[in-house]
Amino acid sequence: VRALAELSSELRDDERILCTSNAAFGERHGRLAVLARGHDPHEPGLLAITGRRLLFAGERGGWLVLEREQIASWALSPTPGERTELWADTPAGSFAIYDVSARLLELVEETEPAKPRQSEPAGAAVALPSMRSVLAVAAACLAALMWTLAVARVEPNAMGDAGLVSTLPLDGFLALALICAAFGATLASRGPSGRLLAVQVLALVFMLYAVPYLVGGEASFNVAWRHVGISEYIAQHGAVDPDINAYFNWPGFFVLSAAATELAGADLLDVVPWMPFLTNLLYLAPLLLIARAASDDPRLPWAAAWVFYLTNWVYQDYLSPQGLTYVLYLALAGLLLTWMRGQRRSALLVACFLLVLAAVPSHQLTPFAMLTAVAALTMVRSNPFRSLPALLGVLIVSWVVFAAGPYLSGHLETLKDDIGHLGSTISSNVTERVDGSETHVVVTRVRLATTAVLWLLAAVAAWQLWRRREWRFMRHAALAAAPFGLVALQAYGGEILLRVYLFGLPFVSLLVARLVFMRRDGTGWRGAGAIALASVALLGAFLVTRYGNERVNLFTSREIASVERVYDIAAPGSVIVAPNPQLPWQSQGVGEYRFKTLDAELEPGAESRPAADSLAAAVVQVVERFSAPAAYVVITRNNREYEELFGAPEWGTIAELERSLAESPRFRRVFDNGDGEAFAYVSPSGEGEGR
Amino acid sequence: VSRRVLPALVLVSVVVFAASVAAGIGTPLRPLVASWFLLACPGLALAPLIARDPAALWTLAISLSVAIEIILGLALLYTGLWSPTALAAVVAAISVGGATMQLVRIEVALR
Repeated sequence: VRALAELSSELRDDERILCTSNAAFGERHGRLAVLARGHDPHEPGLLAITGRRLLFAGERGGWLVLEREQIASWALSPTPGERTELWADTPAGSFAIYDVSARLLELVEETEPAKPRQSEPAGAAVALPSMRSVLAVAAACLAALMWTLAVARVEPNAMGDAGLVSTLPLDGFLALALICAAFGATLASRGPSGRLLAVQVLALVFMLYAVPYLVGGEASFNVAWRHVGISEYIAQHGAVDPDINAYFNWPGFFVLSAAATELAGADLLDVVPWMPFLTNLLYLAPLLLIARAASDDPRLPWAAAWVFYLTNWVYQDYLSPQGLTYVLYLALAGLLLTWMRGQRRSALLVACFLLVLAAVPSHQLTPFAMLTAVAALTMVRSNPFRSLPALLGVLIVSWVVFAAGPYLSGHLETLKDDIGHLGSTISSNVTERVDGSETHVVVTRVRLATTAVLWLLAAVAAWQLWRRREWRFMRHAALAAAPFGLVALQAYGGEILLRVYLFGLPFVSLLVARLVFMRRDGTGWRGAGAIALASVALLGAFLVTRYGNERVNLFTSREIASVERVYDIAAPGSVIVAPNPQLPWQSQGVGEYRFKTLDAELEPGAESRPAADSLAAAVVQVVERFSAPAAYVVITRNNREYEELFGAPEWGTIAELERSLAESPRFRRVFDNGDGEAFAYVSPSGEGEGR
Repeated sequence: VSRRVLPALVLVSVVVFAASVAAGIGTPLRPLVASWFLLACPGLALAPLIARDPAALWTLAISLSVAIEIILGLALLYTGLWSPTALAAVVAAISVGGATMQLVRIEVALR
């Protein structure tokens, strides 16, 4: 059945399969490798004849597509009692297909293959693309171009609390509507081309995930800057130091990024704006593989990928361990779902083992998500390797105990407290996040609502498919539910529900696509309109959910320059203090400087908050804990944006801090470029004063 | 498309990457070549030995490339032999070995 789906996906717009037959690819002579790939000797598969071509799809991936014009002659040998053979001669050689059905042979005999048309000029045999194909590609290109021009005009400083959507020009919205309409028209057409759907999905990925580059090209998101710093440390020292940062306990991703940076001869910060686009491209093949395991409809994988990209708002695809190990997670799920029949079992087992072996030392959570996924597949009896859950468990425990032991011993109490405490986990993940400015609260509520609606639609789809006995989808339903097991383990810094959403999204997207985009009456103009409208609704929510924090994620060149100025003047060993973590820092000097935030050092929930005029004294206490040769307080535009968006912390406001530092004899303002300023700490004796 | 195209592409990519590093070519060409080499080549040299369907092939190509490089990088790091050049050399050897094995299998099958 899968072979039939593969054959169908190869058909051109106006091409129809006339007849199919089980067959086995047989002998071939001459230079036929030029025309065929994957033709293992005697590989069983499916043979199809269309009006113009002969197609063969083997069970082991063998594949042959031959134009009728390329077949000089056919020879049939339906010998009674022997296997029936179809021989064909081509300019590149001859081949045989065995065990062909009698019906197909009759059809071949009725349809004499066309001879090469000698009289036609060269090039006349090249089929011109249909008008529909041209329009579909043109629409995708036009939408991408309009979007690029619109987003390039967005001014980060003018963004409101709703993020990108507050400053996006009208033509940006029109571009999004155009790509949705184009995809709807293509998906709802009869026999849509996989290539056209691919072009439109790729255009969407570019439009939605290249935004950080298109807006200004500066590296955005403060955590990405921190990850650059960790990679730089490994590149410089060729070692890790878990005492400096917990990231060094799971260094797999950083080892790869450090090596890649040096081999590419590039600055990793230049790659950061492109990373969401690149990472989402890497997700595409496993997403298609996962969806293909559920249905033989060739449209479903593209529809599922489309829904995934419209709803992947959790922003974990930046330069991060989570972004890269997610590729390994998707690949593991896709491979386990696809190889149910045990083909090339040992090679596949080795591949799965390598994926798991790479994920365990690279990220704290992804191996646990892999474990829940593999366990879920085992429970629904769809795991081809029953030993895999135990293997994963042993690897995770071994790494945590032997390699990340110091981290574990330092955080054992916190981790132990999280286990089983669903109430506090949900509180830290949901209720405590609905905070900040009025508009930001709306953004957070849209995120919660979108998530709830998607999960609800997926549950409805799973229920309907269960009632229709479409059992292949039940494996995906189990994988959509599996990440909820992570909630019982830990709060993950208040982010576990985001990760549950992320790990379940490929399967939730598939179920939603099946329910909403693949209806039986979903063809023609009505179907196209319904798909386009559903896409526009998801896309409208995506702009808010994904880019609702963009006001604080994007950095201006002047605030980047202000942090670089601090690096220039700060002696090694200095303490660099910021009000909150929202600034472009830690991309260099990891291990050389101590980076501290007042949000962390002036602990929330302290019995008494420092008075506004004594904030400078509180900062003095913080910097004097470290006996550093010098200390600096740096405040950037984004620190203030962060405070406006999420609300002031318990220790006070940035305005109060600035006033207190400016009036204190223990601090001296060393520069202010408009988007960033720094104060140097002055010791009581005058020693250790920053330059 | 011939089955020889992918292994040939891997071999050409290894040569182009090595040449770009040796010649000290800068941005944007070298980052593009290095990204392709690191994200696709070792996996693409091995994946066709397991699957040939495009979605499975590219899934294996990308994920195996990433996995192999992380494992190799960690091995070099924890043994105190950290060297991006050594990592690239081993990855290139895997790519060339896998691609050559594919070509040999095709030639044997065609005889």
